[in-house]
Amino acid sequence: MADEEFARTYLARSFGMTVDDATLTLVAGLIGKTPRVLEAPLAEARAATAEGTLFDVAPNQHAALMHGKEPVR
Amino acid sequence: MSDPALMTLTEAAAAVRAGEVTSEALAEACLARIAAAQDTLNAFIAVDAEGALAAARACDREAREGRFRGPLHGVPLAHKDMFYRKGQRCTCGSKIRADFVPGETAEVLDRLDAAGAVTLGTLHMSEFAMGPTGHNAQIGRCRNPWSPDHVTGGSSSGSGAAVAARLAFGALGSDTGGSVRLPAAFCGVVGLKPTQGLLSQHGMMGLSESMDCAGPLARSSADVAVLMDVLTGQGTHHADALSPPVSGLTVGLPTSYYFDGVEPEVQAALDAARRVLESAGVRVVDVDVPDHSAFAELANLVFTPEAAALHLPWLLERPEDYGPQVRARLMQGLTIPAVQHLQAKQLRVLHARAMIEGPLAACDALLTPALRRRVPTAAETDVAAGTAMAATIAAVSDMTRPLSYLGLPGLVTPVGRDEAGLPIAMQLIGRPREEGLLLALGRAHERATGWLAETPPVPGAMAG
Repeated sequence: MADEEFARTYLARSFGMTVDDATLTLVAGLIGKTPRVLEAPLAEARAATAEGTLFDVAPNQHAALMHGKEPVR
Repeated sequence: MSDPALMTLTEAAAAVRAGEVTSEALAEACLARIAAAQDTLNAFIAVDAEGALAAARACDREAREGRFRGPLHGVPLAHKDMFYRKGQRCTCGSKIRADFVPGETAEVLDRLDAAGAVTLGTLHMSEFAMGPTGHNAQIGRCRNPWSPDHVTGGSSSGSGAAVAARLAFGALGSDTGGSVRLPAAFCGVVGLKPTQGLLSQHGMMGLSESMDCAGPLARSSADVAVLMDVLTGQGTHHADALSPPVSGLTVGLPTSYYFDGVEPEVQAALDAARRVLESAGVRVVDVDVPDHSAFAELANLVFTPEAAALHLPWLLERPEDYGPQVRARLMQGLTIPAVQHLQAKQLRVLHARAMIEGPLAACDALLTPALRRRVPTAAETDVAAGTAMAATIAAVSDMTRPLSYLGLPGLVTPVGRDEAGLPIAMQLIGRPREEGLLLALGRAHERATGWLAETPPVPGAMAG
């Protein structure tokens, strides 16, 4: 219920949007789930670095990796 | 003469060049099959018979003068209705864009045009390319040529159905989470999701800038190789890759995730595919892969906010003009925090590198199912935006979505049929920019088996 109320308020304040209850339930489910999805992979990736962070990983390095070019940072 | 539409793309192109068939005859044959099949399959959104025949006749005139535009001279194709062509309606499978007329032509269409392709029309797709089954709340679903009760896969639903039913010699689709590979797998044809960023996205409807890929579907890996050469402008790079023998290559079978819970019929077909590759001299080995179980969810964190950002004005102004499932998925994208979206993209770099430096360093390619289960029926997967939505989408796309997240190339080719006669397919995963190697492996399998030679029954069409 807390997630649904958060979703209702967030969508209204951020986007001026009102949504039906069914959609709100789906959206709220994702709000609860998203941090859990990231938790384990992030912890594993951070643990593999000296600083315990992903400070030197830029998302646009993916394109460099796909096309065999030097990383951009 | 048997129906010329039953030739493969490479056979048709060679026949036009040799003067054995005219482009007009090819176009007429395809148009006859489209007319016969459209009510059943709903594979096309728009058919341009007049334009196709005019273009075909122009190709024939040039051929008589010994002039050939390129490797696709006079070959009829059709494409998912999301590749823009200047001045021609492009619906994106939606109500919202029902009357959209772009002011530019997609670069991939320009390349196909320049190579001499003839365009038959635009193909069915899931609304805004969101949906892995081929359902579409706005224009009705596309039906599988092997069994109209079953889904085609999506979102390039019409591309899979049209190529399988021999309505076109090849087609473009797009793949953000499996949208080329799933319809190819479900309809029993070959589909390639290229390396992320290899093909131009200019003039192609956007969904997720990080994960969108145009990709070809055709009736053989050799056909796909010709299309890739045209689409990339890389000469005969992909066609040439088919020549060296595949013996000595190593294909890995992931020991985790991809084969978990595979249905027995699918497993048996994949076992047979393994034996076919081994007979061709390929070494097939078990290989450990990093844990991919979270990748489908991570892909959602990348894709849905990007899609929601594109759709926000329409979500605010015309929410009722979306189908319920598409609207719900876009709404979910609005609530993913930017930081978590970016964290998923940071992890993408690390996971892709781990695959390239790990299993894809030990093996030339990986072999997985394209779908763990048999092709589902429309009734089984018609869940709209209900509580079963997430699970249904996951069950259909959990083999393909991880690869979209990683950005690696993936080829799908048929390896069998289930008890109901629906296709079963394997997915071959490769290193970045090594599509040619995947096509060589696919071709080796295809030459040793007859799955692509079988034609689904098309109502009113000539038999093969």
